[in-house]
Amino acid sequence: MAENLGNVLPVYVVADESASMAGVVGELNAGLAELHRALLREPMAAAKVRFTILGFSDDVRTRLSLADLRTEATLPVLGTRSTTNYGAAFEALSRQIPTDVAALKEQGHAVYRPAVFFLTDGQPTDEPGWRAAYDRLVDKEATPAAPNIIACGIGGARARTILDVATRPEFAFVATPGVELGLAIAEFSVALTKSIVASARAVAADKTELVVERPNSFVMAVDVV
Amino acid sequence: MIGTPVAEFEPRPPRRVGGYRPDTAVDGWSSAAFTVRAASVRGYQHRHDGTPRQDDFAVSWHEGTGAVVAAVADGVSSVELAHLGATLACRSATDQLVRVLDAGEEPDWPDVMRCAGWALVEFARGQAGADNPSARAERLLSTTLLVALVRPREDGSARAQVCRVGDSTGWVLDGGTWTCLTEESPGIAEVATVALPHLPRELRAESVDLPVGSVLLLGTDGVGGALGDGAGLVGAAFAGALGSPPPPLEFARLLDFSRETFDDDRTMLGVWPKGAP
Repeated sequence: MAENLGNVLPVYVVADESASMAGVVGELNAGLAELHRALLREPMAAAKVRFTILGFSDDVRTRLSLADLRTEATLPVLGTRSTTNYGAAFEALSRQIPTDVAALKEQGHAVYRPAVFFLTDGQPTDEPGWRAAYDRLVDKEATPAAPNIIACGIGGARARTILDVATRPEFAFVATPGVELGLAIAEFSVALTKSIVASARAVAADKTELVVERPNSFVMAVDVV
Repeated sequence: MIGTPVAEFEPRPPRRVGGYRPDTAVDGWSSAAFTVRAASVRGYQHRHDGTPRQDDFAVSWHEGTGAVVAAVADGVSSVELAHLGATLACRSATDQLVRVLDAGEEPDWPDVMRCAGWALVEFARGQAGADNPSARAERLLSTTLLVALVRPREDGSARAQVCRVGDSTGWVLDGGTWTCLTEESPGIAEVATVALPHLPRELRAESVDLPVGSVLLLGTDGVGGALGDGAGLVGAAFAGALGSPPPPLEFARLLDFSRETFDDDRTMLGVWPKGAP
């Protein structure tokens, strides 16, 4: 068995590189640079994140793969290309995530459910074809490592599409101009990795009971403060 | 230092929530039958962001039976007074077990856990809130808890019973071989754990023999996650150092190893049977 190397969180930044992004791609690149800086200020969290950056348009290009950002001097620069094919992006994630999770486990990591930051202006050109690819990606039966998807709308984003892409309503964001998108992603990533250490209460009400009555044998004899 | 260390930094002071909380707690002593070592250290993430240590332990000797009662707990970090929950649970459970032994009875493990849960509820009563005390205890003080009762045998070996709520774990280390008392399921790792004041509906103690030369180790998930199945570098380092009881501060130093990604609070408690006199 491989050496036990601890928990890691695979993070995928999936950025829209379609022609309609031309007006905001500069902001997007500045955001990635800020994300890099913000994560370096949190060395514990950064050690547990593996970063992948995918740019999508009519096809998907891998700009960075499972990188440890502490050892990357700079992040790749996104461009603009052609159409906005959401289906291609979700299909690429469906192929990539299981492979990546298996590779990380092979190295000896325990892998937390991946997080996808989906950055777009919310105007897919493959409506409604992308929805089948999306459904496969987020279905935990079809994709056991189905990611949490945080959808960030930028530029003139359509809120309805952003909500449809986010796996929970609270994971849908529409960035207003001037808001530091990279910082927002960094904060979210750090919160996620801290929540790995942050044991949470399991919500398994059918398997547990809440202590609501004083046991007969109870004696309060402890003074902690 | 094991493998790649955590980035170096000086720990920040913990936020003062609910009183003084030391970064590190250490204990150690020997009774006629056992040697005990225990330590609880603040995790590197908590040292970095100024959060108090949310793990704790308690350990007592029972004079009448020569038994050792011990507990380790990991306060659920999403609740405000997690560290107090951990301390209350450990001390309540060990106090309760000592009372059971005083009465010459066998422990009723669900009752021991229920009493520990109730200690949280009683404490929660004194805290602000409009919710009922059980809900308040859950909101403020949730904690995992693992409790052990270790009784000596005439041949110098021992028998231990271990009962737990949540993801703390016990191991027996014997001749360099690790045996985990609980099996975890792999797959995609989940964050949530069962925690007091909730009790699993099915709750029982595992029993295990401790031959002379072995040690019972109890650890919170900060230890369990790093140790894994004991086959890696952490398992090798611990096995090399814990074949016999090290001095208490050495035990704490061992526990406080630096290795990247392992930044949770860590608590470990060892009970070594001393063998026939």
